[in-house]
Formats: sequence, C-alpha cells, structure tokens
Amino acid sequence: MANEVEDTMKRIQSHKGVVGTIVVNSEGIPIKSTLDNTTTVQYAGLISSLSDKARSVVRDLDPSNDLTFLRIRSKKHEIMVAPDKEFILIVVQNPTD
Amino acid sequence: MFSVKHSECIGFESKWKVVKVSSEAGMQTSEFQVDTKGTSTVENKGISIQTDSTACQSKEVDMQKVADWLNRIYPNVAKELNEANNSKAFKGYCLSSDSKDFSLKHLQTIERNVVTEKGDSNDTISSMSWNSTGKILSVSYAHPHKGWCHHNGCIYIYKFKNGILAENKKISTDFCVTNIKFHATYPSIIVAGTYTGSINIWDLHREDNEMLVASINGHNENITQLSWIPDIISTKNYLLASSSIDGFLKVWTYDYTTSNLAIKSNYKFKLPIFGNIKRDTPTPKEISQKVWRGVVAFDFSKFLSDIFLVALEGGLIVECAMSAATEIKGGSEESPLSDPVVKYYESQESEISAVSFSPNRKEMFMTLGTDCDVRVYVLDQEDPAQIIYTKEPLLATTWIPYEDKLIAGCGKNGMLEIFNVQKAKLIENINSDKVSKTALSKIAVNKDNSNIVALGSINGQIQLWNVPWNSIAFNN
Repeated sequence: MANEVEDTMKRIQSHKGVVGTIVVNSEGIPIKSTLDNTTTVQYAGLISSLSDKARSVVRDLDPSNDLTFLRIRSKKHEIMVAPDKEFILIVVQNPTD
Repeated sequence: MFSVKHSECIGFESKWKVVKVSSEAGMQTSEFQVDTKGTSTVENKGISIQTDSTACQSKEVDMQKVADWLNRIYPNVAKELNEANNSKAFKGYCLSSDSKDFSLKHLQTIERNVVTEKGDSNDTISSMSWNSTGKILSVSYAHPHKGWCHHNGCIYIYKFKNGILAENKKISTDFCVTNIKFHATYPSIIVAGTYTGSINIWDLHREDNEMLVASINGHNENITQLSWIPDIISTKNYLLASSSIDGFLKVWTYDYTTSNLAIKSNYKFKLPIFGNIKRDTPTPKEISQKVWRGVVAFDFSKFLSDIFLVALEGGLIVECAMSAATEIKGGSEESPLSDPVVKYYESQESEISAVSFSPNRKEMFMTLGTDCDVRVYVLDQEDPAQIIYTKEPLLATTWIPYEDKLIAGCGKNGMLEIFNVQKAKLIENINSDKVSKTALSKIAVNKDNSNIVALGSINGQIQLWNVPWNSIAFNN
C-alpha cells in the first residue's frame, strides 16, 4: 500500500519543476512527504489552515459551491493544493520563467 | 500600745542635678541613596486553561485509502502542473513594489565583420529570429543590393545560455538571405528566404551536411517576409507564408516528418479601382507603373487566423481574408491564383517597411513607415487611430508581448526607443547603460523571456539587452 502511495508521489515529483510533494491528513499532520522534516511540518500546518479558510470562503459565498483546487503563486514557488475531506495534497513547484 | 518613737532624719545627697555629658561621634556608614530607574522587562500574563490537555493520539493512517485517493486525484493534479508549467500568465510580471528599478541593462555586444567565400563583406544584419524555446538566436547577414545578387549569404546561429549568446553554427547560402524565421513550435526548424526568391528550410538537429531539409524556388524576386501561421483546418499544424516583391503572397504546407514543402494558396492583390490611394507625395514611377505591386510586408492575425494584412509598394495597406479569396486569372491548375482583398486602409505617405498585429489586442495593428512615423490602426477603421512621430527614422519596431500599451523600436538614433501607444509619445525618462551608438535595423524579442531583446545594427553588430517592460509600463 505504502509503495503505491510512493509510486504516485514519484509520478508527481517527476513533473517539470516540482520541488516537493506532501500528503497531509485533515488535522494538518503530514502523512507522506518528499521534503525535509522542518519544511514539511511548516508547510503542512500553514497550508492546511489556509486551505480550510479558502474552503470556508468559497462555501460562505455560495453554500452549494466547494473548493476544488488552490494555487498560490509566489516569487519563488507555485504551491498547488488539492484539498479533500480526509487528505490534502500539497505540491511545491518552481515556476519556469 | 501607742508610743512615740522619734526617728532620726537621715539626709542623702540629691543626684538629679548631675548634668549628662554627651559627645557627637562620626558615623561610618555612608548615606543611603535611592535611584529610580525604568525597567525593560516584558509584562507577562499567565492565563490558565480550564480544559484538560488531551494527549496527542497518533492515528493509524489507512495507506490503502491514501493510495486510492492519490490515484483518483492524480490526473487532475498532473493537468494543473502541466498547465502551470506552460502558462504564460505571469511572464515578465513583477510586483508593483519591485518596480522601482526600470533601467535598460546591456548584456552583451557581438561585433562581426562577415566576409564570404567570394570575398564580399556582408555586414548588414538583414533579419533576426529567436526560436520557440528562446534558447537560440539566428542572425542573417546581407549585402546592400542595387541590382542582381551575386553574393554568398550566411546565417549565424547563437545559443543563448546564462544570459549570454555563444556562437554555435554557421550556415552558408548561395545568395544573400533577406529573411529568416524559426518554426513556431519546432525549435530546430528554421526557414530562410533569399534575394533571388528561393526558400530554404534547415533542421539544426541534423548533421552539418544534412541540415538542409527543403529548398524551393518560391518567388521570382527577393523575398520580403516569411512567417509561420496556424492552419485553420488543423490547429496543430503550421503553414509557411512568404511574400515577395514579385507581388505574390504564397502559403505553403510543410510536413515535418517528410520535410515536404508544397504550395497551398497563391495570392495577388488588386489595386483599388477608384482613386482610393490618397497620397500627397507622388508614388515613384517604377512603382506606379506596376500592374501588380510588390508585397513589402504582411502579418496574420494572432486571434482570427483567417484575417491578414498586407503592405504593398507605394504605401498601401490592405486587409485580406483567406475565406474571402476569389479566383483570378493567371494561376495554374496546381496553384490557382486568388485575390483575398477585403478592405483598403488610408495609404501612408512614405513607403511601409513593416506591418504587424498586436499580440495583445485582436483589433489593433501598426505600420512602420520609412519616414518618421509609426501608425496604429484599429481593424475596420480606415484612418489611423494613433500616429507616433519620431525625431529620427525608425528602421524596426515591435509590439511587446503582454504589454499592450508599449511599442519598442530602433533606428538611426542607435538606441532602443520605447513608446507609449496611448499617449503616442516616446518614454524619455529611462535609464540605460551606455554603449557606442550605431544605427540599429533589427529588433527581436525573446520568445521565452520577453525581457531579453536582441538588436541588430546596420554594421553587423548584435546587442543583447535586458528590458524590464513591466516596470516601464507601470511607471509610465
């Protein structure tokens, strides 16, 4: 099972510019990560609370709507967040230009 | 019982008058002093919580569930990652807080005095083109002509790495090269048109003696422009368009796998019947006597691939549509001749040297005249919407990708000039690195990083600049 998870994470990691991938549970605790410990914990905590906030914003605006994907563009990285009920996938990517 | 007893009186000396003797003595302890000083300690407040702290329970994660979930979302994530990689939404974008520095940085100058096998000195840059990945710059050199071309031409290929150009290859041609253009998608395919009207295609990935993959005598006179245009029928394919002084604009199909170049359409442009050519300055005799005027420049719309503009000799600007082409006499069975003219625009007093659609606004295009003006038109509006006058004549202009209010040009002034389209003015307060000034005739903006600009001078010099378009547009 764990291998299957790692295989998928490797596939994500092989995409151009991907720096790291983290799988976080609904409590913000990292389950799997390709980044170092400190960065993983930091990303997991901060991004999961941001994604919760973003989801509540979307739902407050329209209760029948839901957040499907979150992209954060910064000067150095682009952070992709795929939120779900039980898990959150965080992919950190280096922009190409 | 009662008796009288006389007690003798006993006197005693009273002592109360004794005077107390005291003497002052010095104290050894120093005076007690008190100083009040402020403290810098931080105030702390302790708040106790009534709830019991729960021990962190490590939950067993169902890895099968995670694996299933990851597999389910992977296609969408992969799509988003690819989209982010290929997105050009943030190209050249910088925050307004970062946009204080807007100076032009000179990166490199390449001097070249090209001497061909025949001993001619081909020192004028006739064309420049970046490839689709922005990693290769090609530069063609030509000799100024008054009659027949009897020179060898050459194209230099430069690799662009770490902000610097390095010479990689040299391609020699039989005649002077007038125009070169890299393929819109294949980064190694380059096409060149010569002064004698032939079209050659090279694949730079191949060995030196196998690089030439296609060659055809496309026109009878010198080729003025080449361009790769998207095919309306199949958007993945690109067609090659070529124009010449012989008055034809030809569209060719090019098959990458077989390297086959074949004619698809052949256009000629009728002149307006009624005196639609409003010009104060008379058209030169040799041009006015021509039945078919030569095509000086053309450009296909980036948004409506059916529409294209053509600049003819004598300052004429014509709007054409491929779907509106009507067959005319003079064609062959293999390549029927057609006239695609839809509309004539107000003609320019001077000769037109370039026409190009804006990459940012679908209805806008500009023309560059050989005198000191750049005209900006809006489709379906005969008169120009804006005319930008310059002090010195410009020899080349370009739109800036993602910056719809900027036009850049270069010319006899010897430096990159940037214009604000809305104000029709030169942006003057730009700091620039100092370089020796020579008249510049070509400008090419890097396809991958639009901040990188290559300039070509009439004496063969290539200048590479870094131009922060976004900051310039923001501050002006």
